[in-house]
Amino acid sequence: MPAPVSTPVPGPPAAPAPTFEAVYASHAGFVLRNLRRLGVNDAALDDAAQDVFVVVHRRLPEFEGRSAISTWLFAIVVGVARNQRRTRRRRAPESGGNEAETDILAAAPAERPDRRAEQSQSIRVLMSLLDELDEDKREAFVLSQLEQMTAPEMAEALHLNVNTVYARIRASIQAFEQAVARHRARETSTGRPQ
Amino acid sequence: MKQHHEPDLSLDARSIIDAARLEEGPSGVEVERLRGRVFMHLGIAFSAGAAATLATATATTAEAAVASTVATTATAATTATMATTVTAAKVIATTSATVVGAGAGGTALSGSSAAASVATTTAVGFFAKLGLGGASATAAKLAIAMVVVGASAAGVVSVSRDDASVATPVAVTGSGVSPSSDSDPNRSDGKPASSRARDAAPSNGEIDRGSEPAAKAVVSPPELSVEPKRPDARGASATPVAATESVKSAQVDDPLAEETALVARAQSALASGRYDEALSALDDHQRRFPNGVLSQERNGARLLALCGSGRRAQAHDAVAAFLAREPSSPLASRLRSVCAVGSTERSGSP
Repeated sequence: MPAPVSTPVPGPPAAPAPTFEAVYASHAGFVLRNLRRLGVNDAALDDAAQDVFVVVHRRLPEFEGRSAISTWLFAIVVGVARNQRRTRRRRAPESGGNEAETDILAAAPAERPDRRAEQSQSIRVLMSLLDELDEDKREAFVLSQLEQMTAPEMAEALHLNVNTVYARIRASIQAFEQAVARHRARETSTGRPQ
Repeated sequence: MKQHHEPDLSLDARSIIDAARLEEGPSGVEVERLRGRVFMHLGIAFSAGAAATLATATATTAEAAVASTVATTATAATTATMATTVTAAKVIATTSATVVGAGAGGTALSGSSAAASVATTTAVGFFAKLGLGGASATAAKLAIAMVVVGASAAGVVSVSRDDASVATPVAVTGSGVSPSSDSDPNRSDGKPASSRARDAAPSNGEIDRGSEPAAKAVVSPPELSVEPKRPDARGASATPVAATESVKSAQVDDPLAEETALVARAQSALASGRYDEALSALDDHQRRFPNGVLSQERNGARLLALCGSGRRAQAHDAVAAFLAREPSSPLASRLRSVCAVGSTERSGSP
């Protein structure tokens, strides 16, 4: 949560906003985690996170505290993640449908062994399941089930109306369950947990 | 709101999520690395702001601003790494003056002065933090990154490119629908030093307002900064004057400092057009630190040196590859302009 800013700030900004440093300190993990959940692969993670914080830095004076900082941040994270995926698609058009999965599982950046090593089996499973969701469902799922945001908050972060959000949450849960079922089926057929 | 009933996740699905969340991170290392990168980027804003100040203020003010930056950082710095940072700050500030003095269109940065002051505050905070946390790798990297980005006329240009590239996501999130409105001149928050740099000259009022808080921000942190109590205070004696010296002395036993110093040497040579000297420092670096922390900076600097010295053809393929690999690196925008490799010719090279 943002530090409550009560001291009057002399100068133009009408509503006091948390400092950039404070936002970074409290939400860097949130940003990295959710970019990854939204399908930004390891190779692009730093760039994407940097983009998020550059936007945050620029737009922070606009933040009016009407919504939670996490909701506000999520709008930026989602935008950057979408943008990043588009860029990647443009750059790797040959990789077809399971592009995202390929990225996560195979395209490990060799120069960042620390990060690869960090990715545990359970995270890889979750990411590969998320990869099976389309963009809308993936966002809805991450926000509702992993961040446990409320539908009205999601509506704000995603610029959607609340009913659409509810519909997406439902669809995303269904899609995720199907992905889990396929995952379990693969597990039993190969005889190894993967 | 209607009472939609959301289906609950199955226990199986939930257990997968819970297991992953336990280990999701990110690690402190990742957060620190990102901190370095983010600051590196904001360091550009800082140097651009410094340029604006220098452009309109008198030379004396400029000197004072540089001096206070250096002094403040020196106070906070007790490690060799921090001493390196001092040099970096100094180089940036000085070079910014050169940029503007040369009339490189950098005068129109008034609008970003507020951003600059924020960035400055943030900057010093970061330094203090990094110094205290002893995350010397990050600190050194960002220090050198500041040099890399700030130490030439193209620094101002690179601000613009980077901001523009980030503007797309803003547009997406901001309006929900509207496609990239990079060129939107009305983004009052925008602080794209870019658009300002392209625009007209600033009004003095804005400059004054901007430069003033920036200076304050630079001066105040000593009170804030807890005294770092690191025993290995190699750079403890670093004074503004001795900053350059301390980089050399730091080479003695800290490979990272040595690496930083090498790239810094290359960068300052590059900034003043001594391309062969820059290349030879980079060769040194490559020999000694083939996989160093600053490899990316080295590669970028080498390409800049090649292009700068008229060997664009020689560098072309490598530049294209670099841009494909690191499209949003702060170096990328400089490479595009210096090497004239536009985004239009994003060739199919790997």
